[in-house]
Amino acid sequence: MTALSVRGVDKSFGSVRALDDVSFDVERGSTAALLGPSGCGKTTLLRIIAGFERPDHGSVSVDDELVTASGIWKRPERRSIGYVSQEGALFPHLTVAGNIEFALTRPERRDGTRVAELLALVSLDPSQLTRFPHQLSGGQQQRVALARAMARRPGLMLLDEPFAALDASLRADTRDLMAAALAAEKVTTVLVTHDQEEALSFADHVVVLRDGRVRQSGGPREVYERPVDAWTAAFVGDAVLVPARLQQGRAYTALGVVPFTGGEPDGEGTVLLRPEQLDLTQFTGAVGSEDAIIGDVVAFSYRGHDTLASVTLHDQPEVTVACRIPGNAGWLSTGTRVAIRVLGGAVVVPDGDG
Amino acid sequence: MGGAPPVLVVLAVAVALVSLVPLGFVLFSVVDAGPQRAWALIVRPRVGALLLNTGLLTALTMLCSAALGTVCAFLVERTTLPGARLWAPLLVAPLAVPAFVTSYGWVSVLPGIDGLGGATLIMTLAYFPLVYLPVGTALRQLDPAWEEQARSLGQSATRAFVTVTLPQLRPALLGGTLLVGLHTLSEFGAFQALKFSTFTTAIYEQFQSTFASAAGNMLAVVLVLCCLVLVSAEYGFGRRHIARTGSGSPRTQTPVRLGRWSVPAVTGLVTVVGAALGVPLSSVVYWLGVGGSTVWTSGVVSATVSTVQLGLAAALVTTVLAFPVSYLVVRHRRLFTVVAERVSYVAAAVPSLVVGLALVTVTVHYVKPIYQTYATLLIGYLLLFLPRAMVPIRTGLAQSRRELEEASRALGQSRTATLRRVTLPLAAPGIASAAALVFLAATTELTSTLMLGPTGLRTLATRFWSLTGSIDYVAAAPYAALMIAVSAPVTYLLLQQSRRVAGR
Repeated sequence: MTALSVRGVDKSFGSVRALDDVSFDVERGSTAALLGPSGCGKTTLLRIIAGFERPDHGSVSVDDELVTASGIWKRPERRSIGYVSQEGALFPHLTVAGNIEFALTRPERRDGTRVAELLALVSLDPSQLTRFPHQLSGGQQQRVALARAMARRPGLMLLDEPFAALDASLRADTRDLMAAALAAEKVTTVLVTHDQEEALSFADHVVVLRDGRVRQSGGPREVYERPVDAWTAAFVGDAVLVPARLQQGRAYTALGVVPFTGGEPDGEGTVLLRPEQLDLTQFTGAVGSEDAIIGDVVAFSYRGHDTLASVTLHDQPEVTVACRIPGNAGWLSTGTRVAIRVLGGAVVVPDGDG
Repeated sequence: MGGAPPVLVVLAVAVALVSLVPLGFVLFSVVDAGPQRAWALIVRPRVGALLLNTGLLTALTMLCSAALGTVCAFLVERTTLPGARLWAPLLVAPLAVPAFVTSYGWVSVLPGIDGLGGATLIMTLAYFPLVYLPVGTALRQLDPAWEEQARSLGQSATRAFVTVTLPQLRPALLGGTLLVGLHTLSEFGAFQALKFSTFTTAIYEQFQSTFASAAGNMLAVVLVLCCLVLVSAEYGFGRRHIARTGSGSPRTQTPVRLGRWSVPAVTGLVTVVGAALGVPLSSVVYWLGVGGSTVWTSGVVSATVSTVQLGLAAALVTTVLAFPVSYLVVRHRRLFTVVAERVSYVAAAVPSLVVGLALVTVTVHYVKPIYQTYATLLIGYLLLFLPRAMVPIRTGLAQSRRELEEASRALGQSRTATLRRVTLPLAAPGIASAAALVFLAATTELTSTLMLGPTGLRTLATRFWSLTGSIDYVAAAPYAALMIAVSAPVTYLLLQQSRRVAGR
């Protein structure tokens, strides 16, 4: 059953086309991410779903009920949709308790059990109830905002980059905590983000948006491993795109012969490899003495959990590829000669921006 | 999110239309007199002399206020001046003393003071805080990184101030100086004791002798043109947006060490505060001492009561009617809301004397039942004080960001419930300070009260004016004292407002 269905949504601001024929569905109880660079229209889309903006064309259904369509308009307060914005939008004149209780009825407020439940759900201490928003950390504010949005038990929760304003250290913790809270209440969730790692780890379903259009819609693995075009490939992760000659399921590239999936016809094309598929070993032999792909490290950045190196191929100096080596790879520095081995298969992607 | 609430739109349009009455009156009176007669009435030696007087006074006052206000602001905000915290309120406080009380104070001390020099001195002392406040705020807000950057690029401290800091003060400096100009152009009460003729005094004389005559109306036309020239000059030169690059709060600045300049600086400020505040206050105290307890008559009590009542009514009416426009401009920014807002700003640049003249003429001819009633007087106050109320209301509304209202809608609250539970509570401090500012302005408003009020209305300002007109300085003293006492909180409100604007 679909909890949210967006069909053919267009929206322009003046001459700027913010959304262009956007359609996608989200299954009940699942988690979707709208992923795209800033300015791609993802926040506009979220605001249309919430009922803060009207699209020029197209429709939105929540739980199979049309809430936005031509001639149909359900006010935001009548939609059973929770909304958490980038900075939480806690009411500064109300305490934490006042914020969480904001949407509760008088008897519910007096009873107090719902507030206690919500606090427990987002792991906040009851001692925080009397504080004002400015006395909370960013992570706490976002948790209060989520508790407030959950108070009326919405069927659908919209999160507009709710972790973007948080410190890196806090971001992952807050994200996991909110994901757990939403899962516990079985709320269908749509997350807007420009952070591919966040989208891939948070969502069951990723919708990639660019310039107001849906580029790709699918599971996180599908989007990462089988992107529909070169732009999407590079946007959802570091990408190594190399030209190839395709012949009978094998791609002949500067990095050697690599099997590919997809069954494209023979001919010229571009294949995608991820940097973690390129295994480097230090090469000490003479060039040409072994049947290996040889390259020279031209730059590298040590990032703690792994090392990212740029390697220029010896035989084709115009080709430079990115390689990810787990660990600190202490043997590696600029100028190190390496042998490159491709792990796994490649994916054929259409050229350019599509 | 949806359209603007229709009730607010209707009110905003109505207020904007009423705001246009004074300008409409000015246009109409030119048409009514006919182009030839109008030309003959405007191009004559009398008008030339008035234009010279008024123009010189306005230009000199603007120049002196700009210099004095900027120097004071620099000393207080950017140097190691002893007691800087104390100076800020003292330099704003002259705004709590109505200009006609300042003039009364100076004439009491120096009976010979008159003419252009005297008028410039008194106008500058009464209005330089209008420059001091915004320039001080701007200086406080400036990111020291810019000046440091200039220094690291090889400029001296003075050169860095001139090339980097001063240009950024321009909007504040021009805005404040414009306000001084508008206040000087519309000042009326202060010139009585100074025996100095300007457009306002001439228009008032005409009004008293021949009511709304074509000759008086043409003087009003010239005066309004002067005001509009000032407003458009500021609009043309002053509104350059200064973008702040980067985010985060600027660091506090390192103050300039005054060293041996401390003594002259303090002496200078003592002189300024003494002249602007000390002279009028001590004159009032002196005359009160001379009069003893006999001056506190029942007339003082009844004038106080009617002043307070009128001030409260004006505060209520103006704040309530300023809300729709302010709300629409902040939340539903469309062409017509912006126009409605601009209209009320331009309309408020029209001197209170002309507003009075316009409302008298319109009510006499078209709405006789409200001629010389409280209704007309309150409309006059509304037109004069609308922008004063709109600024703090807008600041207050800006506290309630759109996301907060949307959050409330997403939490199931209707538009009305959101207004009641989120928007209004957050804007409440701004609305309260708007009401207070209007109340204070209305309690010392002289010109429009004289012209529009019902016969027999006696307020602190009108009583003070008629008593000083007959040189009864002793009897006038309690009225002056009460006006200053009532206006004193304005100092605090204006300081607070400037800090809030700075916080944005």
